[in-house]
Amino acid sequence: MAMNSKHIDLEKKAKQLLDDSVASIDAATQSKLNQARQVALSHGKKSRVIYLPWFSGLVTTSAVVLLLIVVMPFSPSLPPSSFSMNQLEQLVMIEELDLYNDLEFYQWLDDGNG
Amino acid sequence: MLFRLEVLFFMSDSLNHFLANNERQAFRMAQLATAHRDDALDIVQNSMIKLVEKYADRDADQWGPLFHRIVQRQITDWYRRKKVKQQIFGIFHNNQEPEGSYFEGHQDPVERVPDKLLQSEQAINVLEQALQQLPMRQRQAFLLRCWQGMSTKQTAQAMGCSDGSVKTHYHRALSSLRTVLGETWP
Repeated sequence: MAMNSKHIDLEKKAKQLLDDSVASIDAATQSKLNQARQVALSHGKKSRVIYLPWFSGLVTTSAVVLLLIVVMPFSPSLPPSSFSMNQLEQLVMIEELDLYNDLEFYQWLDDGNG
Repeated sequence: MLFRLEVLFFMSDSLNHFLANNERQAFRMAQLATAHRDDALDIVQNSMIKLVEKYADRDADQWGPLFHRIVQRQITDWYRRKKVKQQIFGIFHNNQEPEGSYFEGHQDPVERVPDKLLQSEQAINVLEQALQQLPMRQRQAFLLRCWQGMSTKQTAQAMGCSDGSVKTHYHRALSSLRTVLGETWP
């Protein structure tokens, strides 16, 4: 109990002295601390500007435009001949097949199933 | 966009206020740990930068524990660097003494009565020396618990250790200080 009481006295006195030591910080050091704080806050402004929504939007848009500029010129320059006749025939065949299927369907409808 | 700027301005203003209220205590803690004014200033500035860069978006009531945690880490890092330096340049640093007491060569800005100032100076010098003799972790626990009024849990978070360790460090610090200061303090 007595030990606890002594500890409490020590804590109170130490706290008071430490508070006094803070109040006694000289002007030069306070000025340095003020400068340090301004430097720290300016760091925050710099890093924060990067995260502004319009900035990130601008970066995204620029990236997309750049990508289009890089990729697009190659697409129109492809020669028409590169689309082979075989591919064309396959497409026609698929369309014809669809037409035949549809014809069968229409015939089936005409037969009175519709 | 305007709203966003207003929020930033408000946050910056709040942070400025928070740091202005805490920077001097942080400086004294760092100075007690390092016994070097410039090193202490560096620790405080680095801590403020880290808080602003990483945690400015957090709620203002979280800044206190976070700031103290950063300060304590910076102090720990300072000790690590010092240890490495001592290992490398140990032979050349044997004659170097730490800087004198904080009050040496400083005028009292509050301009207290000289007798009272002298008493206060002597008392803080004794306390300062006693604190500097403590192991780093004990000093951290004492300053955070006793001076900053942090709970055991908050202190544990700031120091990056368990609640039990904080209790042990704090109790040992109190006992050591009691032993060292017992002769000079009532």
